[in-house]
Amino acid sequence: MKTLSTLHGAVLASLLSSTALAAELTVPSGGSIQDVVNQAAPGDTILVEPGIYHQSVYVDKPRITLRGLRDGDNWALLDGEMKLNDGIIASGHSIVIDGFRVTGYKGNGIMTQGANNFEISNNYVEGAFYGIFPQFGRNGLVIGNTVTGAEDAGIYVGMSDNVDVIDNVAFGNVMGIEFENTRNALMAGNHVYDNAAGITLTLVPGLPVKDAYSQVIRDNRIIGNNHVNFAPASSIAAGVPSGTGILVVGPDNITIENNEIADNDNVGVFVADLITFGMDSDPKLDPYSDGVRVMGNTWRGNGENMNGMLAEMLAATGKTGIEVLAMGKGRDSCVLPGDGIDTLGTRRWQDCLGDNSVAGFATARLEGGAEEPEYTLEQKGRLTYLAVCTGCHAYDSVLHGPSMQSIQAIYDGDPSGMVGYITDPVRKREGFPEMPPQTYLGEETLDAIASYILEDLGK
Amino acid sequence: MTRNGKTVALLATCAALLGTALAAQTGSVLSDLESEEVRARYRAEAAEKIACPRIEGYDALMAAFEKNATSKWDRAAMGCATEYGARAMDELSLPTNLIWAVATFRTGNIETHLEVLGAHLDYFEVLDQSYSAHYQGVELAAELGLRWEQARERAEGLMARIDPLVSKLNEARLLRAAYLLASTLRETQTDAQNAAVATAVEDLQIAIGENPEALDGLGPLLLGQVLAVLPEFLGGDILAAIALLEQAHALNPTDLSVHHTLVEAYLGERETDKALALLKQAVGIDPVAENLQDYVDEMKYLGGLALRAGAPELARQMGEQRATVLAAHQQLDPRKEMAALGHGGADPLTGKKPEDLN
Ligand code: HEC
Repeated sequence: MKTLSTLHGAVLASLLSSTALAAELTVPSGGSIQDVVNQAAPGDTILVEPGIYHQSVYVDKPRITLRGLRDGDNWALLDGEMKLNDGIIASGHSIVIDGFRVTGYKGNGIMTQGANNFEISNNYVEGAFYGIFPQFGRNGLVIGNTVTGAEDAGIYVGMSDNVDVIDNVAFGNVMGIEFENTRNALMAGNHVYDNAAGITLTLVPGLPVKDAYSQVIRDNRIIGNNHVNFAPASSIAAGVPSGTGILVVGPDNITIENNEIADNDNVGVFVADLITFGMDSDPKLDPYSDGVRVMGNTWRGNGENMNGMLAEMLAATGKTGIEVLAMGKGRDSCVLPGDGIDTLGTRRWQDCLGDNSVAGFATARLEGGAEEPEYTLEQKGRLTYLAVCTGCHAYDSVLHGPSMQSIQAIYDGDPSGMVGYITDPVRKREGFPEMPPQTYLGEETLDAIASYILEDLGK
Repeated sequence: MTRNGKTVALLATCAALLGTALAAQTGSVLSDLESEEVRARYRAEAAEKIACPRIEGYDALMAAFEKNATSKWDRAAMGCATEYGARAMDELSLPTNLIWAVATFRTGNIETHLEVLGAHLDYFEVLDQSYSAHYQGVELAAELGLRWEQARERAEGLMARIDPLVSKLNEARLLRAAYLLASTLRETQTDAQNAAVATAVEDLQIAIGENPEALDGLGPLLLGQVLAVLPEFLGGDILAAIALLEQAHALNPTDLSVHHTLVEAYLGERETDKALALLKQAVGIDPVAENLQDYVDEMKYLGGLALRAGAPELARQMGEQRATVLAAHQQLDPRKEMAALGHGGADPLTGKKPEDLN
């Protein structure tokens, strides 16, 4: 079996790869994935044998395929043992991350950061804060993954463009699948059940990307998303009302079509403005959800068991069993009159027209792919600081580790001292967990992070 | 009356959707920090950190209050100032009978009480702005939570003494409404928030009926803010809100917090021309007419609105004026927005900072 799947991987890789000379490297069971990544050249495929890997992996080379091999239930298993923060982080363009089982990370299961033309496929990610999290990516595909147990979003596409999220399964997360500050994206064929909220489409304040628009949500099954919201109370996700099929907060030009939306206790589709959630701190954002089209979906048993904050809010109206709830000042939204659904707050909505249909919309990705700019050291420093260090450090407060302000004071003018510490951390503070070494990021990136922290951050 | 408490900004109503989470399952960095033990430790540290030096006697307390009651750039100083103010009020009797108050020359006591309450409202607003837009670190969360609780406890004490005056004194009614809105912005359960907003709306309607001009038009400003935010099926009414905010603007044309809300309401109604006209007026307002911290905060906000309204040149101008005031007054807080848990901070690709107005 093993040889067969290896062979299969090899053939696929050589088909996908753009360089004829691409090599195939193998990580033996339990070996260091990072070592092999470091040896690899752009275009190479890295096969990871089934086994257990207590590691964080960082890929910043372009066109690397990282593939976990599987032998029945025996996966290439990345296990952070609840000590490590990140499973796989990639900022190389045209990265493929395929076939891993990922568990026990405190931050990100699989993250791409600034990687264009990415593909994340056939992984099984459990736990973590964000399960699968492509951020700042253009042109990407998230397909065939299963994600569960994320304290925020299971699959979380953030500040990205032209992304397809297709045929994934998300259950037992706070949010099943989220598009956040994302433009041009397709979510299709996913099965999203038993999350606190199934699908969330959001525009979040205070991020570098100031808009979110043109998203197609079609042919998904969004069933029984009534899990208690187990997001940490201090996180934004704690405000997401459990029992919600689809939550739209802020983006424009959204089509929700041909989905099966059933048994979500509070509401099928909830369209709100940023202000509804107290998320209106960023004046640069247009806080209204405009152009939301809800058409041709199958509905069953939504809003039949209202509870919690939404029940409290709507108590005065005496309404339950609502399929579409609108609570904002958005314009140009519509439902299809023939769908015969119960709505509330849709006084300004219109009737959808047949030609609003996007039933045949096949992909949001770009023909020919996106450009692949090479990042400067400065950009790399900022990208990895954001992806990795902010998982445990905030600027002016203790998070998991001490505040960056206090760290700036310790290492003022001494970047190599800082690099020394993060390469080989020692226990210094009473009552703090240990900081895991960051060597996997490589010397060049660590230098870039240190100079960003000491010379630019907060200055 | 002081200008304190006039700028009570946003309203909680719907932010009330924020619920309390149950215990987390997976042990992320944030959920580790939710543990009772960790929180108790940071609360104890915060309590020590925010304790104010002891001051005794009415005059000394009032002097310490006056010194920092409007230091909006320094929540620690403001926290102690409001504490001193509240303690001074403990030493002051407050007549509940207005005729008796006039007869005994103690109307001043009433004003002082309202002034100290107003300072608390400003303090709530400063605290509200200190929360990060995304994720709180545990240290900051513990500090802000404790500050909020302590401020609310003090303000409740003041309110208990002011309450009997509400039916006789319009200003007291207005400040009660402002208090209800400001003190429930954070750290409050949904049902308590909803109840506070409902009571505040009633108070505001009565107060505006009696005299819309009281406290420079605070009534129309607050009610306008509330009606602009509430969903229609819960009594919200954007057109009524705009009429109220226009009234507030006419009564108090140099208050940037009125510009802030009214521009936002115009943009919500896609009345971009009206929004731009108001933004142009705002950029011409003399900074010394405002609390300087309010000025730089509002310039940042209005500059953002100008960008959204498609007026980058106006935004740039606001950014420059803001920078000039910040440079001349180093004590002011630039309110940097920094990243946590993968969110916020500078744009990693361009290096642009969130507060940049270009
Ligand atoms: C998994 C969580 C985690 C991640 C990720 C993390 N840190 Fe830390 N860091 C900690 C903890 C916990 C401490 C405190 C350790 C102690 O004092 O014993 C710490 C301490 C530090 C210190 C203090 C050193 C000193 O001399 O006091 C520096 C510098 C530092 N981290 C930098 C970084 C940088 C840079 C990154 C990103 C590349 C990073 N950390 C990523 C958890 C983390």
